[in-house]
Amino acid sequence: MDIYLFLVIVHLIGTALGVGGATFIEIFLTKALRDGHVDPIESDFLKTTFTVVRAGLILALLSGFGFLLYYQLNGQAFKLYNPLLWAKLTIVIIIAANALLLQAHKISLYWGSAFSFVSWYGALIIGVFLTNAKSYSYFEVMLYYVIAVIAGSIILDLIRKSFSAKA
Amino acid sequence: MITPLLTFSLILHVILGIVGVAASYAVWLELLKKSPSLSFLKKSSLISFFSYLLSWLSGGYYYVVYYGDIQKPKIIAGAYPWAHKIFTEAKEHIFLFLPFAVLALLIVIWKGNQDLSQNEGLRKGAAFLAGVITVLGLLIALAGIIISGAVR
Repeated sequence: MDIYLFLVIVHLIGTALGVGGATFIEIFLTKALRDGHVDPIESDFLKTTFTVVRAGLILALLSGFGFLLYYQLNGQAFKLYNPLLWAKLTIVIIIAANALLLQAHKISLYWGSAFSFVSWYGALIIGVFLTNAKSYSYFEVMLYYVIAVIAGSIILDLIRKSFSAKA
Repeated sequence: MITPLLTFSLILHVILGIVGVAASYAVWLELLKKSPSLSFLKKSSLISFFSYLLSWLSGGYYYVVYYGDIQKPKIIAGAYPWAHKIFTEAKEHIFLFLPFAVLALLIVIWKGNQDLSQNEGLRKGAAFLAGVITVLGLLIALAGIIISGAVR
């Protein structure tokens, strides 16, 4: 197996764990908050899923930097100035900063879960665009991202409210 | 021509740098909890210290043997001379004190021990130091991408 294929596989596994984990955090959270509080079993499920997301982030980060090294060592350094790559890096930093803010209780669940959920899907979609050599400016991508976070926060809140009403 | 040893030192510099940032981020995240796990903090701070230190040494070797003579002139003569003039210059000076800052954090965690859960001021101070280390490490990593991208 060549090194590039290995990096692709590790990056895909990391992204799958991150995106899948972020999705399940939303599902568990919606179900847990139906009765207004998170019981110990629900809390345990959430903690396990957070660990899975963090493992995914580490795998995606290490393989992502592996790609950057690969480009540098194989005469493709121009790829490091791709605006999509910088948009993806910005979103990964937002994922990490959001986790810190949630831990420190400095961000509400309304925005925290929207940032986490939308950012993981955003990074996935930008990754697909990068692979398929799509061309967008950095600010264009970040504008779409901000719109997606706002729309995501409203949709996730509506889903949570509809489940709470049914309970 | 880049030798296998130089390639290895560059790979080590980048990967261990990222591991260092991730480990100091984990320390920061844990110190934000009211009752942080001391065993987790000790392991993470140790990984962080050795990762930054080895990344520092391997990056230094790459810089002295290869970057200064081969890559720096290419960047200066290329389309992005600011990548060296601003980012390499900033990176090499900030990176100088980073392992010492991580060593200070390591000592606080290993010597502070039980005090970290009982003394809120100490925990918050250590969290601030871990935060500064993580942000600087991250900025250095981003500067590394900018510098690498300018070599064409």
